[in-house]
Amino acid sequence: MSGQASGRRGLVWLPVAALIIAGGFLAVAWSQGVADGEAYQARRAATIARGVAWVHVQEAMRVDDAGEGQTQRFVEALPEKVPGVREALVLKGVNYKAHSDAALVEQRLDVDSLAAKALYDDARRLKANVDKNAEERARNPALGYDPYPEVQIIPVEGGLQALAVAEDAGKYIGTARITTGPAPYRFELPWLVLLVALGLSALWLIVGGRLPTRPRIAVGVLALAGLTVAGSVTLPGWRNDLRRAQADGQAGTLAALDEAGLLAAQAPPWDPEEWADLDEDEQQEETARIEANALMPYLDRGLNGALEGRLVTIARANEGDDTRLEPPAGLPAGALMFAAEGRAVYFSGAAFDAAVVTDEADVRLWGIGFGVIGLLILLLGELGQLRRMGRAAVDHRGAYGYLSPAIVGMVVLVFIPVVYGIVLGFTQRTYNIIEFAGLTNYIEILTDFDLGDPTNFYFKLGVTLMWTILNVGLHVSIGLFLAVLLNDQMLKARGIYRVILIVPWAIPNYITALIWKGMFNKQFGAVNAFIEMMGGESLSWFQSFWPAFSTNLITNTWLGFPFMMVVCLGALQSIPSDLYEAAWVDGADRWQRFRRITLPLLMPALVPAVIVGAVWTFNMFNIIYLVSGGAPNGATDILITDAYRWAFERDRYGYAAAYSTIIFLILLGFTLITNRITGATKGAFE
Amino acid sequence: MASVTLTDVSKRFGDNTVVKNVFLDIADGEFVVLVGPSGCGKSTTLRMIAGLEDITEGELKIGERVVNDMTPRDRDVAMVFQSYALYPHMTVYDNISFGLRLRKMPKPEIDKRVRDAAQKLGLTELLDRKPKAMSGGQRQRVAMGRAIVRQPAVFLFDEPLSNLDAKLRVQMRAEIARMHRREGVTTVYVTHDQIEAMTLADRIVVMNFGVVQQVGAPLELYREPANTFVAGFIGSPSMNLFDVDLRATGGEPTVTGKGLSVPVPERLRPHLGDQTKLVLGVRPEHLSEAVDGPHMTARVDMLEPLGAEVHALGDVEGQPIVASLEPDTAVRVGGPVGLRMDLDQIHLFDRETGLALGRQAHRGAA
Ligand SMILES: Nc1ncnc2c1ncn2[C@@H]1O[C@H](COP(=O)(O)OP(=O)(O)O)[C@@H](O)[C@H]1O
Ligand SMILES: [Mg+2]
Repeated sequence: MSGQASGRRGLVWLPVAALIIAGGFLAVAWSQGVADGEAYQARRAATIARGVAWVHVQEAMRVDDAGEGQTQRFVEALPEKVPGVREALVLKGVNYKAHSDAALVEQRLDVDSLAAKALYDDARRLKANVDKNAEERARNPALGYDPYPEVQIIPVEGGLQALAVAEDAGKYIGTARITTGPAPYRFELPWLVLLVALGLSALWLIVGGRLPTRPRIAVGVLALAGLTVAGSVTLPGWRNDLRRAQADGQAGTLAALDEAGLLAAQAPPWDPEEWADLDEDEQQEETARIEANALMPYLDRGLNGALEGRLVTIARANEGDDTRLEPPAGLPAGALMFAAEGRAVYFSGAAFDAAVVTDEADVRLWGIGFGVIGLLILLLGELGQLRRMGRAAVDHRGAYGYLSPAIVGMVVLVFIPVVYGIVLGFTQRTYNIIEFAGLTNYIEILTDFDLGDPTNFYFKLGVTLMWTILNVGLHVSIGLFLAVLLNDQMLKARGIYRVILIVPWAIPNYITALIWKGMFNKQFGAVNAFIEMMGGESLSWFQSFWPAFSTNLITNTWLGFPFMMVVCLGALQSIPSDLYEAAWVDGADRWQRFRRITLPLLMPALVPAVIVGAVWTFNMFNIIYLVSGGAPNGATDILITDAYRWAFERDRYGYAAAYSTIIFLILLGFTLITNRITGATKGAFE
Repeated sequence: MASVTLTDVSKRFGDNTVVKNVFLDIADGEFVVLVGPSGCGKSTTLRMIAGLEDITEGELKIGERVVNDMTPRDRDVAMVFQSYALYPHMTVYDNISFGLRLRKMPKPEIDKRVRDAAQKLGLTELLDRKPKAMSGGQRQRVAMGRAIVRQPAVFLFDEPLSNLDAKLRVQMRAEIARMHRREGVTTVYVTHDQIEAMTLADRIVVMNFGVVQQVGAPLELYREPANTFVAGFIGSPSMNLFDVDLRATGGEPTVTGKGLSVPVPERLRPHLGDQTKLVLGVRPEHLSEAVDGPHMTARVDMLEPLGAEVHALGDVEGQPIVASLEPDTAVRVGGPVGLRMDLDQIHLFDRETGLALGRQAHRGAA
């Protein structure tokens, strides 16, 4: 009776799991679809406007007459070839330089019209931005982007208007504007997956109860896995409708370019001689790749960079060579680029394919994620684990209630960043594109054996180990020595010494670090002053490895011994004095009492302290970064500071994350092994 | 093996004199128990013998050597601590052999001695254990084993049994007595438990406020306590003490107190001086129920039947009294009881000095 009832209740888990999977798919499709829909329109408008502007620049900059009228031909072809484009124009001053309505070419703006006034104002503002950007760049050559937007997008009735500045090397040539209608595609939610999930659930509720538990779980797992696989296979398909619509836009633009005779007349991409070296097939192939703007959505995916004019300045010329630009790392093969004064726009058909592939992988990953969650729910639910967890949560709701702030805090502050960091280690990031890279980072780190390079992992590991061992050794021996002195009952004013000796520990360590750095200064530092006073010769502390390493070591020893001292003091005081008396009567002299009684009895307190101290020192970022700063030439950097430099100075986030994960694994292994050997944490469980 | 001699030994902590002018001759092989209330300076005296405390004044000899300035490790003494002071990080074997290893004794010899001691103390099975994994009684044995293997000149015990339960205590007491009989080593034993003192000692040293009150064989202290302190301290339940005045009633010396009046027995008369303010002492076991001619009448507050006897607790006109009565007594709580003293067993003390009549103060006592 009750068995059946509970059996029936047990049947809810598959429907719950199936609905979660389907719901997850819908949510992903919806969020991606809507986001893409909006971004797509804006990007499409912006890229076409930029295309127009670019074509116009090409025409204006020609010394020969070959490009005569090409802008007008392109603009006129656009509404016809590109679905959704209603109007295109190029304005200079108050005159139309090109217009999809051929009758308006070379006409003045109708200054009494409000719309025309708005166009004029917008164009002037963008032109001003071009000047301001030129100024900014002159003032700050390191600036990698245009701080003021050179593209503007505003929503208009049923569509968008995009303005882009046509300029060459900061010289204003005109303003292009595109007006589009509504997006030429319909986004539909993948309701089918929900229907399948519902059907599966209904079937399950009807026949599932007939099956014994184990086979039922197996069938349930298979059904959910099927749902997940089918869902994630078809999910990118829906999204690809969107992509396809985008592709139509690009094909249209291409057709318009063709119509204007631009594709054929297009000059070779960067070097005429190089272009001439290509045979005809190759030239054709290259030309076909000039699918204008296809790369744009890829490059600024997820970030409406185009709106801020960043897109065109993604790559800067290498110093001293402003014709040949290095494409950003990670750009798919086959991408071409057009260079103008150190700025580049990328056009590539291959890139479009790559974008679709990445998207599919993205969405599939989400789908598989939901599938795993669904399977977990089914398994845990069917096995009664979920109900037990739920019951525990209800029974101990008071305790969990009190714990919840801590749990939330731990999850947000510790768990999520750690997991994010580990995941990041499997990716490579170029600008704002993050791509899955498998074990590439790890392989790169671990298979490089060039020990002469100060950033080499194994070199760093050696420095770090030496750093850790020397530090902990000094901390423990100095701390223990002082603790034994302070523990002597005969010592007068022990309290005062104790306070003074703990002071280094109480001061924030970066302050101590900066003070020591100052003291090691070659000209003004106290250390050199002292050495000179003693008749020695002052030292350039940060010029070579050993002195620089010593500065770190001295600073960190100064910081680190109080902790060990406090630990030893506490442990010493917990040793009953009659043990010493017994040993004394047994015939032990002072040293033997220390060696046979004090030391072994300190171990239980000292070993965990040494482990913790070793971990802290291994990762002691502040001191290295602030005192020697890795000088000379990064040689005294330890693993953790180098991980920081990989992320924030060498801009390799994935590599840095992999580095950090390796550091974490080293420390984890160290702790597990030392714990096993010493049984140090045993006391907590006895 | 050696004798131990304390000559006018005192100990001061700052201005606080905790041991005063102690004279004590402990013969070779003797078992001496220091007994007294808590804080009276027993441990301090013992620790001075061990060398764990400096001697402020006086001279200490072990055997023929003056050892005042010798460290514990050179005195050839072994000590068992109240807390046992076992080394928690060492096994029983290592604990016991610690002193021998420090003295660089050859390994086979150490092994032989340790196993021998373990055998005697029933520790053979436990040699590989750590102190944490043992019961109180076992730890106690290890502490003793550690002392025995050293084969020292003097054994020192500081309340070694006070952390054990009553039954184990009796057992270990016998063990210690046996050990002493077997080894015959000079032993100084500190306790606040007079039963331990009575059962173990060749001689007992009773101390109070750092001053030696009386030194003597157990029965001697019981029969002839030198002063009211010893009288009250030795014997259980304690001796009853009444303030009395000496009068001559018709030529017969009589002591009279509240609710009681008895003639001074013949044997005490020679010691009577001109002191009239005295203290009468009589042990509970020397009181008996009297149908006619009682020396005094007590009111009973409480009865403690122990089987072989009944302790009646009560008062005689406000002076507390304990009497040991026959087990079949008809006395009831709240009722009166007439009591007779065994006059041959009563004691008289000078009320001012506390000394028993005819006695001198112990040497060294102020
Ligand atoms: N290290 C010390 N410093 C000051 N006073 C002490 C010290 N050791 C013992 N005393 C005092 O000496 C007196 C006797 O102590 P002790 O010999 O331990 O008594 P017990 O007879 O109970 O063993 C006590 O009043 C104690 O407070
Ligand atoms: Mg004591």
